[in-house]
Amino acid sequence: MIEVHGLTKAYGEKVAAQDLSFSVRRGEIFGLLGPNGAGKTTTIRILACIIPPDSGRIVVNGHEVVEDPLSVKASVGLLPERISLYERLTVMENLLFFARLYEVEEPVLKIKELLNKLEIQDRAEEPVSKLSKGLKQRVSIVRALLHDPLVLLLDEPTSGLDPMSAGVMRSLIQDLSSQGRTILLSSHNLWEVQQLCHRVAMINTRLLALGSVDELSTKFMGPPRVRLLLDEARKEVLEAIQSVYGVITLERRDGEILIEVMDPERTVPAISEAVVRAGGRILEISVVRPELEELFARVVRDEVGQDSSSG
Amino acid sequence: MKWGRILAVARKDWREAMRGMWMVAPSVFLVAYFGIALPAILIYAAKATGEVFIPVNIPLPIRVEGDLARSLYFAFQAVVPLIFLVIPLAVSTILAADGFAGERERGTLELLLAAPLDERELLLGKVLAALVPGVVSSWTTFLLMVPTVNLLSSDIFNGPWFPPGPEWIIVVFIISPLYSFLAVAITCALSSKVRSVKEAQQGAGILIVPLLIVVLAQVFWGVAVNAEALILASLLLGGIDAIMILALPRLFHGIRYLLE
Repeated sequence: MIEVHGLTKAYGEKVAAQDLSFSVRRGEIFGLLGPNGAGKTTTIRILACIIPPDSGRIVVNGHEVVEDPLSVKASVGLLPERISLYERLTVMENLLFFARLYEVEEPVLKIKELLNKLEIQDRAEEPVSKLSKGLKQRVSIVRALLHDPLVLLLDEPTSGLDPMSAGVMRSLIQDLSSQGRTILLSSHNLWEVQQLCHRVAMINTRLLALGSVDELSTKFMGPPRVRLLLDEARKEVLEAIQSVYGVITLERRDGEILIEVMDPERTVPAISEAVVRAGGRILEISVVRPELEELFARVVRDEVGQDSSSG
Repeated sequence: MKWGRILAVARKDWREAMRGMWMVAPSVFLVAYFGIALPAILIYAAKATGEVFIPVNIPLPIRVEGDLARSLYFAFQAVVPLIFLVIPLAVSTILAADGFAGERERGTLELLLAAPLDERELLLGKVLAALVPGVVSSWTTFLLMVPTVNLLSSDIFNGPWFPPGPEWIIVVFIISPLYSFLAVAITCALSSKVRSVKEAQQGAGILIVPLLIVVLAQVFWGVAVNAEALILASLLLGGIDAIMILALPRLFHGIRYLLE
């Protein structure tokens, strides 16, 4: 749905994106992560045909960004980082304006349907300036969905929203993905990205890492671990655990047992079975997944380390 | 190129301008002042003092009896036509300066550039949005000025006399829109290059200079502006406007860099 090959963009001397390559599949929620100035907004603006790339081949929904920007624009819904609505106009006037630009058929009907869906139908005739940030963001989402885009580009969609509005926004993003829309989002909220995204790309002007959170965890943080609490850590029980296929290491720490495993989905049931067979009793068993925040810090730290050692 | 989208951009700008007093109030003031108040002040001042404020020896195209009438006639002929260039310049450049730089300041430019409009449609929408209110203000001023002048000065001129010749029609209905278009196009191009409305407005200030030169030429050097000269000026302006239409998309191309 989105193909990015060798995207490069510089503003004068400052490089914003350097040879970025990734692809986003249909129906996927794809996260773009990076520190400030990493090139996330630039990448989104290039995908939305707002600014041209210096080089690279970018295809969105089958259309080349450089060759056929109008077709790309018509199939993309953009939610910029900053709320972009005309404050003096009413909600309906704002939406009708964009509906006309996108040549939406039966615009009033479509707008009412979306306003109902986002539960803001009673605010249609209010000036945007009178709305809270959360409501403005909902209006912005309606605006982005007016023309039924197949691809949604969301730049910090929950930034500055109160927890309730952010929750509404997250469930909406999941709904949109389940309808088959492809979503690329950038966010500073790593917990949110971990909850929402099927895959993530970590960038810092260039691509640092790409994959699902689990894949990246294994790659950068080592194998996943299982935390096990037994009624009594007898030798034969520990030996039984160690003999399970997929167990890499076993470590006792503060009364708990931490087990590095290859594939938690398969190994955890096997460990449970081995413990019971050896006569042990499990009080608690859980898979310890590293937080994306930890992972992100590691990837960025590794990159900084590489840069300083190569420099 | 789709006119529906061009008109959508223009209508949106008009709606926004109408909601803010910053646009409507100055325009109404300009129209009322130049259409009614200024001619009335000129005529009453002349009548009250009986003063000949400009000694006139140049031949006049209509038969005017008496020094007061000749002087008043010359004042109108020399200074007042320029009002029909100043009004659209003032009204339109406020809107044109806001066109792109204002969208950028308010954070709405990004979405406008993300919409499936080609650059020519967006630019035409913005030019139209700024041009129409200026030209309408200019024409409204003229429509108010005609009865005001005739009503207040028919005793001096022995009947209705205003507008006295085809020059006025050329200025109001041909030169005024042509000059406004040029001013709007230049200001829109400026607005797409600079980072704030203030910068665009400051840059557009240069457009008043040609008008000042015309005033100075008439008042101090006695340059007579007749219908032939005005037709020539119209052709010249039309040519410059045509070049502007061709060159604008290229000038406008830098708009995307406002976001960088």
